[in-house]
Amino acid sequence: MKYQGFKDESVWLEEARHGDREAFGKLIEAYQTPVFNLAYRMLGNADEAEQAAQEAFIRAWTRLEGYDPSHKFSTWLLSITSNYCIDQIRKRRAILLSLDEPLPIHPALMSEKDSGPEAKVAESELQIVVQNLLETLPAEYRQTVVLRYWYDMSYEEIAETMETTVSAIKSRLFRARRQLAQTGLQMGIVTTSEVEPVA
Amino acid sequence: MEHEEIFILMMEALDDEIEESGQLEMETHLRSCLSCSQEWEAIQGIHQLFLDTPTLSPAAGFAERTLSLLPNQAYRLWMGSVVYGLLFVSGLLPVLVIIWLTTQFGPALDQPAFVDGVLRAGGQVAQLSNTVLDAFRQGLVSGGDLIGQQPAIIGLLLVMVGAILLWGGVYSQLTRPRRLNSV
Repeated sequence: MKYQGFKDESVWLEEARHGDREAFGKLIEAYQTPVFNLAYRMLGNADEAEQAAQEAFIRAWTRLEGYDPSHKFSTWLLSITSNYCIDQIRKRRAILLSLDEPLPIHPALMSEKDSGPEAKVAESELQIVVQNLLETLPAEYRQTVVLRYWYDMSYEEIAETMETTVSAIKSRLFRARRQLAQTGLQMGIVTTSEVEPVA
Repeated sequence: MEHEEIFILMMEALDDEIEESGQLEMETHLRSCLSCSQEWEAIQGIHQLFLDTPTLSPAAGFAERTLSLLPNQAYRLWMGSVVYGLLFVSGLLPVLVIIWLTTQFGPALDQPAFVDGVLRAGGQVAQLSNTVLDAFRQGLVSGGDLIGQQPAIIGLLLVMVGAILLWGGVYSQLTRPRRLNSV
């Protein structure tokens, strides 16, 4: 999925910059799925993801004056979202450490399956498996993987969103993929053939 | 070829950036190395799993709920103006008082006794400031003595910090939108 911008995006942006809430509402409707999806993949919980997505839109609204139109709006918005999610993950870790409790294998705290929007998003077995895999990754690796696979971003775009270098992104993706493969094997999510290769 | 080099080629292959020669080298290595070929299978499995996993959408009504949370810029501007206005007035007030006092007691400024009194008071203030600053410096240098020796100063600083935090909290509460529960 590549977000190239919507037909009327620049018009909505211009109107929103002048305080038009209705125009900003159009932007919310257009980008609610990518923003929510990113938040969910990062936080692993629908309630937290919804709050994070709302916070991202509120921040975008209050910082619209600072948005540089020479950059893609989607990149700017996803950057706000992922930075907020990283902060939330750090806060969550700090709370766990301050409580002196051991860190769980999957740090995202999945809520009950049958509670509200959670039931809607986590109904698929595949989603749960993928989420469990993602949650074994450190936050920065997880962010890189999500932007690469669900947003089809190039290394350059991921680097811009995460405010780092292309080589750092390549390195993170390299390590993340290897770690995911190992975890996938341990969890039985992926299997390999035992056939001895030809010498 | 080293295993690490093969892993780099694997990444290039996943991103469709591998050259033909690299592809050939990788395939040759994978045919003869069990650990690399198993890792390649696992990496490809995860890669495909992620590609097959659809994007998640928020619960219905998300846009409306979010829109209702957006802060009212006009209200924020108005509140900001009130706060800055109050700060301005609170800074302006002492200046006005001084001007009024000067006009009221202006003639006394010419009296030699008044000038002497002002100079004496100024000297005492300077002496007092010097003593306080010296105590401050001594306290900091000797590591914590200040707290025991000048509790009033510490108390005053704490009260000032508390007042700033309190008014900051009041301001953020006044301008913070109320979050609604999702449907």
